[in-house]
Amino acid sequence: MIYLKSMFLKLKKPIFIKKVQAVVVINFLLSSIYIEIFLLLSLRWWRELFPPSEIGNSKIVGYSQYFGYPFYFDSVYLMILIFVPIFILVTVVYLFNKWER
Amino acid sequence: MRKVKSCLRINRGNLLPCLLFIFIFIASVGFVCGNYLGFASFDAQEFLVWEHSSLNNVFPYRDIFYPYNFINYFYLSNAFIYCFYILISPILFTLLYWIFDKLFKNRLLSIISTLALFAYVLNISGIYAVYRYGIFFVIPLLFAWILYQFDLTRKAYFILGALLGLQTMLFLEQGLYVTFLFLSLYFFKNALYLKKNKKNYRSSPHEVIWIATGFIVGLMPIAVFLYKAKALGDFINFFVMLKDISLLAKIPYFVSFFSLTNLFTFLSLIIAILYLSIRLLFLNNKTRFSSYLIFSLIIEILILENKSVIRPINEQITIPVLILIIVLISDFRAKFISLKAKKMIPIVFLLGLCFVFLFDLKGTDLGISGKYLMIPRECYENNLNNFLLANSEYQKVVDQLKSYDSNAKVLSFPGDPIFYVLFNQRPPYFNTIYEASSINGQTAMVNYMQKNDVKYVIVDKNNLTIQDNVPNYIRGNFVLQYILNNYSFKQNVDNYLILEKNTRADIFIPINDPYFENLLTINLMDIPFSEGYYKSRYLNSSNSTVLIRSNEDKILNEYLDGRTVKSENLFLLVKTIRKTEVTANIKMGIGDSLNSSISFNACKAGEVCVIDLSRLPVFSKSRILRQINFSNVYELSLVKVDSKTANLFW
Repeated sequence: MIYLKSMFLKLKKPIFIKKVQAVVVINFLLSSIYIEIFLLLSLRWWRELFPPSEIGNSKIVGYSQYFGYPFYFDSVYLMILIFVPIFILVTVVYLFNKWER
Repeated sequence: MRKVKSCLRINRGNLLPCLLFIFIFIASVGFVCGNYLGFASFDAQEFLVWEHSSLNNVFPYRDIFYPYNFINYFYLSNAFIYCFYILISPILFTLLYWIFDKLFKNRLLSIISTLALFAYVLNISGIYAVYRYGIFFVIPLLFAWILYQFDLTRKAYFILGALLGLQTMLFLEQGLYVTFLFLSLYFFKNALYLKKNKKNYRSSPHEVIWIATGFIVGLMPIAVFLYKAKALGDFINFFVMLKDISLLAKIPYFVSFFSLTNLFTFLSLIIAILYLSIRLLFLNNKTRFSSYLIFSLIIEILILENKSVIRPINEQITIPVLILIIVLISDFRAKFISLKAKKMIPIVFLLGLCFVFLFDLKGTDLGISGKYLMIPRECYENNLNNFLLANSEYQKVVDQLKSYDSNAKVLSFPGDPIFYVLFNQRPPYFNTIYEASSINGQTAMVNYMQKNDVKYVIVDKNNLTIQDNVPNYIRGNFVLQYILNNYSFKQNVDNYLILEKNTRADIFIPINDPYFENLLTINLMDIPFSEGYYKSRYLNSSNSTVLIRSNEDKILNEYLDGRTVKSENLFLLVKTIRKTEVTANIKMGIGDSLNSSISFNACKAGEVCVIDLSRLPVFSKSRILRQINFSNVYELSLVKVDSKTANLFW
């Protein structure tokens, strides 16, 4: 059993969680780091999965046309990078709350 | 309303914000007139052109492409706007102090936080960020307080809507962001209310209608002003062009992602979202003002991060990030360490004072500030002199050209717009090929050359690409072709080529400068792939004729040997048989003893890349294709296409 007291979670009383639960939590936390690293390293691979940016009739050629990946790709990728760890950490907090009950 | 009035009433307690206002006014007024410009920077030219245009009655959006707002354009030429402009920084920082005061409920901490932030802005992010994004940084925080503090009536929503409409017209994209944030805060407030009072929740579509009506009314004054100035149509069209600019301005984001400032922003953002999510989802506390502030700042930073994806503004984003950190600290202080707060105050006070002592006092020269205050035009002249001191080569080119013809009109390619200022010449609608890349933009530039009978073109030899590594010959091939066909080499002055109007000469024969050799070696990157992917379906037997197809250059060259194959509407279709290399290379022998080579990202096996040869600089004049060399992993087709179909391609 592992003794946990968190100021941040503002638990009413200290809680005890099983080792298995601790492993689950640690793995959750580590996975957010692994996923971030994976996402950053695999950026180029994801880019190439998408079709190239189209050059319109008005012949606008910018960076995304010249280097050939979708215009909104970076924005979407950034949002994923921001929200993946948040989603995982919120899940961890949810688990704590569940165990506390 | 009584509460609002009581907040605004002047009393002894308001002396501190008044002193703060005066201090920030004195400290920042020296920066109003452009001391923020790095005079060696390329972008400084654009600001000088806009200042020059503003002082010479060139109306923005109608006569010149201007990507910012009215306030920034007219501040030197209109006394009323100038007065408002110089007060932007002190007003915003005083408002920020007032918000901190509502948050901390401690004047000392509020004043130290405000001054520390001001010191940071002055020394690190640059005060320009306040004039550029300050409204967007601070006004939503004020709305957060209004929505947190009051249950507004429909009349109040109408007035707020009208204010949002007015500021949207005045501050354009900043104004739109503020409006978006106000609506986000409004729905955030409703969502919190719904969470608390599930049974008693009343939806409020009427409030949204009042906001929308007020917003439309708020748009009217500036719309009428634009209509009277015959610029309303151009102003509306400006928003369409702004969409194109975001497309053109896109640069690789993940290169700047790993900068220290961006990582700081990124981590702060994650911590703040996580903190707010946990507080709202799991802790059943009373909603606090700080929740509204954190929510507002998160949305602000997310919007700015998305802007940064197109063009990096990492330093500027750190300003709302620091405000966010101050709000988070205040929340932690109130929630967890309230007993120790008294002990913390002297430490924070000392830290704040350290920041204050770091102030850069150069900009607070009262003599210069006073001069600018009295004569705004001095700002422009001072900026121009500083720019020319840092970039002496421009004056050399001007002197040389004036020795030929003192009244001659010029065009700068790809875009050193400072020449229009130095020649006291009204600039083209788009100053640089970077802004004029759309076909309409390029046509406007060519029309400008024809209408003004431009005698000389000044080519910046070192500027092979503008801002984002996309070559000028790719970006502005229509204007480049016009220049190559109608001008010839006159002289070299430092890094500049002077071309003189001459419709008979061929600029590639003889090649007078290495600049033209660069135009013969072209990297098209992903363009042939994109063109093939989206547009090869346009090519069919009714609008195109395949002259020859083979995977051996010997067979193609035998075909070219016996015939006159002109480059006009001539397409090269490159089908990859086996993908053995990342970059495909094709060398061409052309009539008049010229050689040109193209490289591009090879298509996947079985896919076709398409190249319109007449778009290449060497084929700006119709020439004969004599020889072609390529690897046998590709199957090449030479295709003649009718003009209508050819126009569909890049």
